[in-house]
Amino acid sequence: MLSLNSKKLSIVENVLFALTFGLVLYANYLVFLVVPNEKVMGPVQRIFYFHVGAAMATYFAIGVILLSSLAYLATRKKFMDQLLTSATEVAFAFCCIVMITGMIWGNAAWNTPFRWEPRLVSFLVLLLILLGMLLLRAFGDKEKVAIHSAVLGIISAINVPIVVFSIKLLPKATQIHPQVVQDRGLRDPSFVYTMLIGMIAMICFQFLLLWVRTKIETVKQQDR
Amino acid sequence: MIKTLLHKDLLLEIRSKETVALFATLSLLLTVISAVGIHSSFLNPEEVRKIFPVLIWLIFIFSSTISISKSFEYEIKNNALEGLFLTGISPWTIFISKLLTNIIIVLAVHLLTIILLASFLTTPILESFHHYAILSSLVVIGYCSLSTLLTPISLSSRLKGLLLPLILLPLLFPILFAALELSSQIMLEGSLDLGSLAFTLLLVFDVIYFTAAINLFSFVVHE
Repeated sequence: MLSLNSKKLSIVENVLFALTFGLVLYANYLVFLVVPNEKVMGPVQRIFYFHVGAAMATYFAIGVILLSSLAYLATRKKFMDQLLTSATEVAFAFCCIVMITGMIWGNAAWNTPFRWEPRLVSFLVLLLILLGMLLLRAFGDKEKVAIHSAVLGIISAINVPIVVFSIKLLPKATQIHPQVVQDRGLRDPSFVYTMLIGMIAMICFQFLLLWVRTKIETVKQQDR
Repeated sequence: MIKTLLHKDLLLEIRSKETVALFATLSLLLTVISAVGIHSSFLNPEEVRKIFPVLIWLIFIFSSTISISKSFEYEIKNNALEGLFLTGISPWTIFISKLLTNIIIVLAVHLLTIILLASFLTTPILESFHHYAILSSLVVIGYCSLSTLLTPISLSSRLKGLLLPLILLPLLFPILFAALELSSQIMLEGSLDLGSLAFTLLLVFDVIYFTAAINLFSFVVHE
């Protein structure tokens, strides 16, 4: 049986921790000390590097929700349920980061923290879907909550890619969320490099959180 | 077998009238409140036509989500569902019968509510009513597929039926978005654009929710 406290896994844990710590530090160094100010928006544009990274981390966590839900229904292994619980919480946390950083940027760029624009609304709905999953976990029937969460996890996770891609098909006039990479490209090469490092750092951070949260969940369930 | 189960479910509803009474009364109340609100704010007919789709789908969501869990409560009470499984009926047969019962009840009450709200607001919709009927049928199929799957989940929780809107409404968002877009189109242009993105989105989500629900239902009720 897979034990999260085994020696081999604790080496993986230490490597992941060191890698994440190094990458986050390096990303911060690049964001605050290396990349030049963006011409139009100035220093507030720097939040973009955390915003995009957190959005990617949210999608990864939703991928984990889908896989762990399917794996739980197929195998009924407790570990998969623990992973699903953790992935839901981590996805919710990163979704909150995306919303908050987006609002800070929006307040500076649009003079309002939130606009009823397709991409913003879709992320808000995603946040509400994840909140629904957390509520089910909190108030669900203890004996059946694992299986019910897996069912809701599958339905929720298959929703996400369709909503995300269908937004791209909407008329351009209705979309005011910047499509920085697709439409205009990043003018300075250091922008691209920093964005990539920021994304990798956030994704590593998400996996570290997932790891730690799963360990806590394992111990919690053993104590019950 | 589906025919027998559907007959049983409909007979149960005709005798108890719980879901229909709750759903229809809530819809009527909300329709009256909306009509009073619109009339007291002195909106011109053009503005009423614009706000009509929002009102109709708000009334639909509020009243249907509160009343839809009633239909499943009979099955949970006294372990009636266990009894059904003992007869060898497959979960998907039960799902289809429950789904059809819900679709019939929800669609009938919803179409009546549309007529009622239109007459209260003196908004002419008779000419485009068949477009509304097509749109409502598609929305109700997606809505009922998802709610039939999620109702047993919410009923087994500590919040009982109150959990249903919290887990159902965010997932329904794509369907509701499409419904709002398309009904605004019917209201302003008088017809349903079958080639629009909203219509495709509605069809795609109907298929996805129906396929997912029918496959996942056995996990929800059979365990």
